[in-house]
Amino acid sequence: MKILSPIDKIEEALPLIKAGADEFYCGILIGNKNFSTMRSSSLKKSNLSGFGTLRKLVKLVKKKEKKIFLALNDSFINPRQSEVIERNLDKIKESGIDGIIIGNIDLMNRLKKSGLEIIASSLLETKNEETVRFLNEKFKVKRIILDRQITLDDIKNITSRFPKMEFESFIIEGGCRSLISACRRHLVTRKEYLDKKLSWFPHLCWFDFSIENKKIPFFSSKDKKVIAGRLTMPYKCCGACALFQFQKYGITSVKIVGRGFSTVRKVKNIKFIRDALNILERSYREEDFYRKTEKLFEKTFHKKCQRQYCYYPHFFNG
Amino acid sequence: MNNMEKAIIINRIEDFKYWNRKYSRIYLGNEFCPRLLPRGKELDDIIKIIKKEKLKLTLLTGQVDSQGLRLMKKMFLYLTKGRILDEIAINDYGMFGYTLRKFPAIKIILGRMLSRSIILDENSYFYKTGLRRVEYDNLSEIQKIKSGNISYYYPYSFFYNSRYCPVADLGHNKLKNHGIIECFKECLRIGELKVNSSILAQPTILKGNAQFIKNKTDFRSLINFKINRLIFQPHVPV
Repeated sequence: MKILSPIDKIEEALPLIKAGADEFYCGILIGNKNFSTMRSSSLKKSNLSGFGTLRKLVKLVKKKEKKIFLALNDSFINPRQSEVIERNLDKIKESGIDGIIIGNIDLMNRLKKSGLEIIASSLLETKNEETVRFLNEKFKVKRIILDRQITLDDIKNITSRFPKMEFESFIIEGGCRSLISACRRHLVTRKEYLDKKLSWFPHLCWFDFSIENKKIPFFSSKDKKVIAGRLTMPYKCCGACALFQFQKYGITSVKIVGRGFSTVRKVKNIKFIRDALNILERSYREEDFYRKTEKLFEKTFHKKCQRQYCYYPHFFNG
Repeated sequence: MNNMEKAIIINRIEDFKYWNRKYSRIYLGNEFCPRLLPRGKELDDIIKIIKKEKLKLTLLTGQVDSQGLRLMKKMFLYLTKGRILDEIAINDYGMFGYTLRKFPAIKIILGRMLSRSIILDENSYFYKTGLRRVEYDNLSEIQKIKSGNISYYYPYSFFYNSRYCPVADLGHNKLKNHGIIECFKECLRIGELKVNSSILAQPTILKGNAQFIKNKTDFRSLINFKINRLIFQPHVPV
């Protein structure tokens, strides 16, 4: 199982590789425009500045025998932006990138004969076998980033049905309580939080909620807190205990979230997952692996494993 | 407004109390949770009413996992065998691919969950593969589409749908992150909840695994958006 890490600048390559990263994904500004998902931090911080930088970065990563993918996964890409990408296809290919991550079906359709390997973004929310079949048969996709809100049972079902395909699963950092396509926070967020000058872009999941009904039919008033608590999911989310299942299911790569994050934070995340994979190699029993991984989390991040922010909480629910 | 097709969402049989002759089309199903799909006798009784009243039928589908996909396929097959299904509203790429593959004659509609994240033009893959209609529940999100049909859901806009249902199994499981688990349809007993937070511009409505706001719609303005179908949600559609 490989570790897939975000990378935002050339200087990060060596420390991230040293920490244990096997693969990378990056964004790029083409004519100062961003074509990947919107980041909370500034676009410059989470994107390479242009094709010159991309070529140098790819060269360095390849020299270390690692892979690197280019994220062009903004789902809101319009036909004009698609044309910009198509005009720059030669430059993308010449960079030597291993594949492009796409989150928009129309763009995927336009690029399916480009000769570039297409990786289906998590924005396409793959969590059933028909989505895998659709992406594979219609767009020749051979690698898919699975949805964040997927169960271990669904991962098992999908990987067993498509053994020749590659799958990535989320492993640490950013979670979301809402399905991505369903999250329309702009409709309900207070105006001051939508100010584009803000250095951060607030997500609903980061805030506390309350249930204002005096009573809930059939349930105790104390349950209001449980319901409200289930609406939040701030950083840091983690799914490291599920490495145990991922190994059995043949997951190709585990994805660390965090373009735009500091190098120190990226290194820490990679080291944590690398150490957890090292524990896994020692063939502990399932319960022992969870216990050791939770301890490792505590030691690495100086806080207790917060099970309420687990990507795959099913295994401790019995 | 007179030329506007009018439809009503029927999540379960008791929703027919909101139906009257002005609604010539039924949207049957559930976009937010496949576990709430009507089944068995309830489904049969709904179909009887649809046939008796000679109503057009759109199957309303949401995002589905493997289990939800099985349920959707079963319902889909049942309705196509009964030859009463006219359209399917899609909110999951797997359901889109499945419909194209297995039921190419069924009209496909892009549901309100997927429509917001796809910028459509005439050359879109979706139109080329037979997409007939695009649906929205918020006027601010309606795209200027040169051709094609547009539907508008009222009075509720959803803004959140989770597989970590906040009320699932509430009687037994008090964990804040209980995961994606089996439930006892607690949402139907609890009903609507009012949610507030410092980030929210207004309190919202939570029901089951989805959240909504209620819109005030100026129906006279709908003509400017080339809307030719109105879909009434008699209650928060969960």
